[in-house]
Amino acid sequence: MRKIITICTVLAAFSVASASANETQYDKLVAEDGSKFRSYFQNKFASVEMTDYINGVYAIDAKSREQWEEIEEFPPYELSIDEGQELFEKPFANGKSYASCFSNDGVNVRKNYPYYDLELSKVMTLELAINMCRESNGEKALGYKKGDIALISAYMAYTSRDETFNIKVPNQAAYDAYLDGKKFFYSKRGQLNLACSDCHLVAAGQKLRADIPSPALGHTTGFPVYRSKWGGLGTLHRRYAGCNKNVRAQPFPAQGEEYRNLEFFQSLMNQGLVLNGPSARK
Amino acid sequence: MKKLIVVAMAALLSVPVVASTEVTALIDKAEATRVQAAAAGFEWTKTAGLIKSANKALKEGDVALAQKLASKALKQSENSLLQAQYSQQHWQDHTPQ
Repeated sequence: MRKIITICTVLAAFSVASASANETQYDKLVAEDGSKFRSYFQNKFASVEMTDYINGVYAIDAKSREQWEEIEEFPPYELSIDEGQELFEKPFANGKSYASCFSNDGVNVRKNYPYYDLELSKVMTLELAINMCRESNGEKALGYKKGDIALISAYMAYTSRDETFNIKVPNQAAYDAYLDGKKFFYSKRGQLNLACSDCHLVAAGQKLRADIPSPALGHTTGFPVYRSKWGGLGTLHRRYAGCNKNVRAQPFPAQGEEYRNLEFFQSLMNQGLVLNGPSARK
Repeated sequence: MKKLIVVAMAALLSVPVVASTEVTALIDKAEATRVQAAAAGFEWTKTAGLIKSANKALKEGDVALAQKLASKALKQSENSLLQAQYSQQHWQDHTPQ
């Protein structure tokens, strides 16, 4: 009996140590940043529940929310999920399918993206992974901003609905990518000299002409989005390019290093928030 | 009449004439600075278009317009680089504490 108790105690201690060991020093640094990020918005919007930030501007503006809730009764992205599933399940010319490229056959994996790929030494986003899957199976890559890539991403995002992000920062290189994305977020750019943070941190909730900038917290949870302005579905990097153009900054290529690192930073700030893609936005 | 001709010639001669070679150099400088801004990741959306328009104006013989557009493009490129430098030094000033 004593032996069993001793063994159990040792095993329990080991598992605690392992859990702590799994969290790197970089995870802790990012968690500290995340804590400050969330506190900023909690102080700015005291009446907004943390769980509601996944709904963007609709979490902070009642009038917009009313319209959005009506739209959600017949979601414009609903058909896209079905179309995306069809595309996802359709075999490639070589007989394989997307399921062969992802863990769990590609179901409920969105929560793991983006992640830092240790082998390729870069941030891997879901859309990049989709195209890498295609190319490794002899298919042409899809455009990264809209069309089939958005449909497939929408279906995969839907299978992760209500899950939370599960993203780690395993080493210095991953942390550097995170910092690169963080720097991008806080750097003023374009002829209008605006950083992402100027609109989505400082001016979140204020009126910019007829629009209200959404809080940056929760920004990536709902992508890809059906945007009324686009009249269709689009990816996160499409939105990044649009935002850069809005401030007259030359946009970067979708799925280039700049936007992948930015997505990595933003997603890490969303740790603990629930995934709700695809979603509808104005 | 003679007086009028003399006055008119004096007025014409007092306006500085920019040589097309000077404007070509200005356009080249604007383009080189734009490329630097692009390499730094801070190019603005309108700059390349201004340079293209300046080249077009020069080709069509409108040196004054070409000079105006090239000057604007150069100013934008220079400001883009200043912005890149500022961001490098100050981006952390705007993070939540």
